[in-house]
Amino acid sequence: MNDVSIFQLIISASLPVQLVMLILLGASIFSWALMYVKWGYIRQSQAEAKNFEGRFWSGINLSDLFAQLSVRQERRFGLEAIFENGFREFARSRKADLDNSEVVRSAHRAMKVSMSREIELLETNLPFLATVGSVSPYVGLFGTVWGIMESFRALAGVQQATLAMVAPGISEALIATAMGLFAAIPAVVAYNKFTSEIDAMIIRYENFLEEFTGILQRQAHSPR
Amino acid sequence: MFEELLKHPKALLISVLAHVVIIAAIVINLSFTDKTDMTKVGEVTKTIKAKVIDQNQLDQKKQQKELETKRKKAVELKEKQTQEAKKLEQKKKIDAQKKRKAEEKRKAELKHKKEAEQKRKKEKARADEKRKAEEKQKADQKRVAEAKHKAEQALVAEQNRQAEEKRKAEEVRIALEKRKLEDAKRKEDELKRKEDERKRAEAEQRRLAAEEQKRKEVELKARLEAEQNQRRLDSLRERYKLAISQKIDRSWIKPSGNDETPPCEVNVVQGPGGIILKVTFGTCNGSTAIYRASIEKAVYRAEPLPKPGDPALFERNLKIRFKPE
Repeated sequence: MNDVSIFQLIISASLPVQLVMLILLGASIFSWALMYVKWGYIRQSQAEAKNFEGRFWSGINLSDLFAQLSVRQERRFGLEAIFENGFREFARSRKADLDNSEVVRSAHRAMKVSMSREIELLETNLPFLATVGSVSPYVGLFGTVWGIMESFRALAGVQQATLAMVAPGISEALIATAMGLFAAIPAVVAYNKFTSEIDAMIIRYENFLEEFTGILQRQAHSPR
Repeated sequence: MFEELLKHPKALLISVLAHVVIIAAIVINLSFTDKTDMTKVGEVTKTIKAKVIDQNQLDQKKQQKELETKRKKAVELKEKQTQEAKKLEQKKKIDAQKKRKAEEKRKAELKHKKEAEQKRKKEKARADEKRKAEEKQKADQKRVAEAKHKAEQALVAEQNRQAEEKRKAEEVRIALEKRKLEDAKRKEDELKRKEDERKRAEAEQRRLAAEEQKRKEVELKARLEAEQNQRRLDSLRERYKLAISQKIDRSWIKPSGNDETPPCEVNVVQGPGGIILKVTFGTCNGSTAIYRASIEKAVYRAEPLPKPGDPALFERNLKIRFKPE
């Protein structure tokens, strides 16, 4: 009794409180893992965009760039994917002898589709982080309220109540809140950081798309 | 979400490891800090030895004590009585002695008094003689002093009277001088005041003149300005009217046929912005209905009418003289 360790408290907690703690622990573990994955993906996208923009504006022939990309076996993503889809569509519709403005428009459309796919890839699983960030304090609070309720209920039949009888119960219940906050804080921070970075990436993609459309328009009007 | 995590087992592993580390750190840290010093309760250090006591013994002791105290009290009482008897005897002796001494003292005092009486009578006779002589001398001295005093008083009175007269004369002289001075001052003040008034009046006149001139200048300037403004407005009005009639002229299409086209007076009511509200005809001798209709059409075609150069020149009711070339 005199050595009250957290471990003992958790083990001796009532079943709902233990369940809440388990859920929170799981949420925390998953959110951290997700953060790691997401962080890696965003870093990779940023590096790719920088690299591709460098290549694109280096003055290389667009057909050569396209050939280089299509030779590569691995999956293309980010700006590369947008460029590839747009240019392929442009070449195809030119072969089909469409009107100049129609050619540019179809290429633009293809790039838009590609871009929205990329954005979706960037944004997947972000809602999980947001949910963990906003809900887990409530879950923890629920565990705490339940635990305190239990400990007061146990007090009802006793003639002389002492602080020592309630204290372990409340302490045990408060662990749930602590765990909820522990899960929520990193999730919220990560969510905010990721959304701002993804927004920046989207703007980057959009800018590239418009610029590339301009270039295609110029090419479409030049003689074939 | 889970597929993505399954694709990256490394991430899951890292996350689990991080949690294990954190939880371990928390548990260890808490178990270190939680060890508080418990004070040891329940150690008995001193024992108290108990004894069995018999009630009878206690009672006997008590009776013995009481007897002893009674005996002591009796002895004390005796001693006190003997002491008191001794004291009484001594007191009697002392009283007898005191009485004797007092008798002796009284006798000695009587003797002393008689001697003092004789001495006092002698001294009184001597003093009477002396007093009489002194009184005589004092009366003489008083007489002489009174005579002297009277003479002095007369002298002082005379001197006072003279001083008073002198003072009065001086006062009169001073008052006269003062009045003279005051008169002079008053005269001077009067002069000064008159001078000031004159000056002030002059200044006022000058100021009035300056103001008048200024006012005249301002008026002149205002008149000039007004004239100029008027001229400008007049020219603007001319231009405005000309612009309106020209626009109407330009919009006019001559009706077919050889109808006569005499000059016509057209009254146009316009709203703000040059919108035409109403068109009526004034004197228009020898005109045909077709001609008038063509004029009306021209006016409507000229809508919106040109704006004046100055908003003040806007006229709601325009009287235009229409004269085809």
